[in-house]
Amino acid sequence: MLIRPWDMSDGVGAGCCGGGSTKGLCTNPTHHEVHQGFGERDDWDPLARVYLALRDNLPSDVDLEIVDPRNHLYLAPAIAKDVRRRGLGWGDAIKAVLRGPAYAAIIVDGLTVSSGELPTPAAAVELVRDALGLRPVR
Amino acid sequence: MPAIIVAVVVMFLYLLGYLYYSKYLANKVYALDPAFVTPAHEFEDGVDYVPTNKHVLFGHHFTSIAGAAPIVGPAIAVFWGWLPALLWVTLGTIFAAGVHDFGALVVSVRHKAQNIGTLASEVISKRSRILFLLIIFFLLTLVNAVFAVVIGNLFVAFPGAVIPIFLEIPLAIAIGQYIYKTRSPALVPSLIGVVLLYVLIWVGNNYPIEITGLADSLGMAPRDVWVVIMFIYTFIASRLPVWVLLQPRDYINSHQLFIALGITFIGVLVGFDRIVAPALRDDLPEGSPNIFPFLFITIACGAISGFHSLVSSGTTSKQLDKDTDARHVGYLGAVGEGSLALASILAVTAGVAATRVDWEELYPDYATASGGATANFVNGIAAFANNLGVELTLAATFAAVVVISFAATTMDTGVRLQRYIVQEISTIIGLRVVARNLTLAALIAVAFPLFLALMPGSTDAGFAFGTLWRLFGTTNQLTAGLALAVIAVWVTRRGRNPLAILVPMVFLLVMTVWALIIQLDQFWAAEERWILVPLDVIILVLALWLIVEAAMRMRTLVRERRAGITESDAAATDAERGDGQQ
Repeated sequence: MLIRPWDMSDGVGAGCCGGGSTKGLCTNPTHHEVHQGFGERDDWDPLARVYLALRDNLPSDVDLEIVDPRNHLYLAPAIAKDVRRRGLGWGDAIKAVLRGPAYAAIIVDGLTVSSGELPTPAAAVELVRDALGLRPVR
Repeated sequence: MPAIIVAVVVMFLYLLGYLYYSKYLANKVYALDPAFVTPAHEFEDGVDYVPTNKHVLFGHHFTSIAGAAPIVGPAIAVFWGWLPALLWVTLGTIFAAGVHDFGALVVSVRHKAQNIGTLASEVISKRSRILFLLIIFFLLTLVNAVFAVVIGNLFVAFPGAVIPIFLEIPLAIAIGQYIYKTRSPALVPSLIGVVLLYVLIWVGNNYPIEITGLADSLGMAPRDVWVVIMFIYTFIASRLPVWVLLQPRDYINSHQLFIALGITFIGVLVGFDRIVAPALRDDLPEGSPNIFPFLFITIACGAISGFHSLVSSGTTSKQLDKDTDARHVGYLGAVGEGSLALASILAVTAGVAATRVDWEELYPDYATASGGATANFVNGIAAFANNLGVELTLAATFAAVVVISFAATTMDTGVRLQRYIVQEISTIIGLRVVARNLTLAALIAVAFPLFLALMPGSTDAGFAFGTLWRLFGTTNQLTAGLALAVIAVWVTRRGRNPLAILVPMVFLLVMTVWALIIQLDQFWAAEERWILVPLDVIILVLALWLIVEAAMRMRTLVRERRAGITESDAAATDAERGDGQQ
């Protein structure tokens, strides 16, 4: 799980009548064009670059998600379940839930392998592959 | 009738709706295709287009659509009795909102995750784009005006809420700065924020703030002073980056949502409160609005809300992993909203009063009912919290803070979106000075609703909710009607039966137009509300325009079907006409 840094999120939470992101209103199709061919740009969305690097360097059966940190409905049970699946107790599960959705966290099977700052794409790949017990990418 | 039994029955019906009706929609109407490559995969970019697990996506989607609107409408509508309000919420959720939210998501996914406005111009006609923007402009104007009045009324009725609400602002900023600077996990600081907020609720309850003196010196009603303060605040807040204030407040609100829902349903279970309101009133005072059409306008969000199509098609559709996930995310999101509306009905029919006589004193006539609706909701939730041991006045302040927090967040985002709409419309009509000036656009975004909220006669008990809320309801239903028209046309083009969409669409549009015509007559007769006449006329014209556009398009499609023109032929014709672009 990649926890979306909250200063890189759209404003939501205003309910059905707040409407969430302005992307729901824009009627000019060119305003939000699909971002193709951008990966090499230095100024591109850093989370997106990490996400795409992970997508391209992890086995296809690895479930990769970007999750908004406010999504407690999903995060708390998901992290707890992952921790318990590793054979750890409920105390560890609760600690993982409290620690988990940190700023720009990368969480692998309930374990936070990085947080506080987004790693580079290459570093993120190395961290996650190491946590999954996979050989490093050459 | 014990409220918990009603809650269980309705939730069971929602379950049946999800298990059977949404399955019918998925298989027979929308024909979901597990092999379809969704835009999240086709355009995957890690920014907007990200294939997302349906359980993750449901959380994102639900917290985007949940808010204060499904609280207010039902709290007014029980004036006609709890049964019609409950029936509309339940049947609307299952057969209208579910169809609408689910369908908007599917159609968007099948069209490269474009939003409903762009889809309207592609699927119905190019003119529908401006129609969409105009409807949304009026919708946002009305919702911002109404929620400012909601907040103003609540600050006057519950002055204990002033301190926690206003100190929540620096609290949220401080939490945001702490998390941003330290990059620490957000959950614990946000939970501490909730605890501190509750401490502030206790402080506010003991030191209520009334502004009667200030209001007298300004020659204004206290509620109007609060309205002006709220618009000044939202103007400033709309200019701040979202992560400074809106985001951290969202954190606190997301906890409040689940705490409030939990308190409501657990409180109902523990207290075993009984519904004291009549099922159907046969003693309505003369001059009361009729259930038909006004029930269906008074309750918009909670039965069907056009704004959900903006969320479904604006962001959710870009993250859908599989076509078949749309059923879980779209339909269940509507059910979640229906649950909030159910909580509101229980609060104002079971919690707020102990006897029928007490209840009837709160709902003697429509003006009183509508003016006191949110206060009744607050007191009802307070009663449920009191069942769990929370002291009553403290519980009322807590409930007021929940409603005001959500309403304020709606205003924050509503003004921000309105500014965006003003710029979009200005771009289309060539008004560059507004299109390029954020401050000017924001001022326009604030000025219209402020004027509506402060117009002469606005302090009448029934104005905000008897009038403005109904106008808001009509525009929200119009947005839903537009989205349903898009969905119906799309389904028809694919040779499937659009009846499941046409029935709620026609019903909504009939109720909306009927209400607008009746209101036009009422506004014309009320001297102080002259501004509402052109507003009503404009919305009526937009409604008729929508009906004509949708009918023309459906007629063309039916003719094509009869002539044996296939979907690919139709798409080619659309492309030649200039539709069908990305």
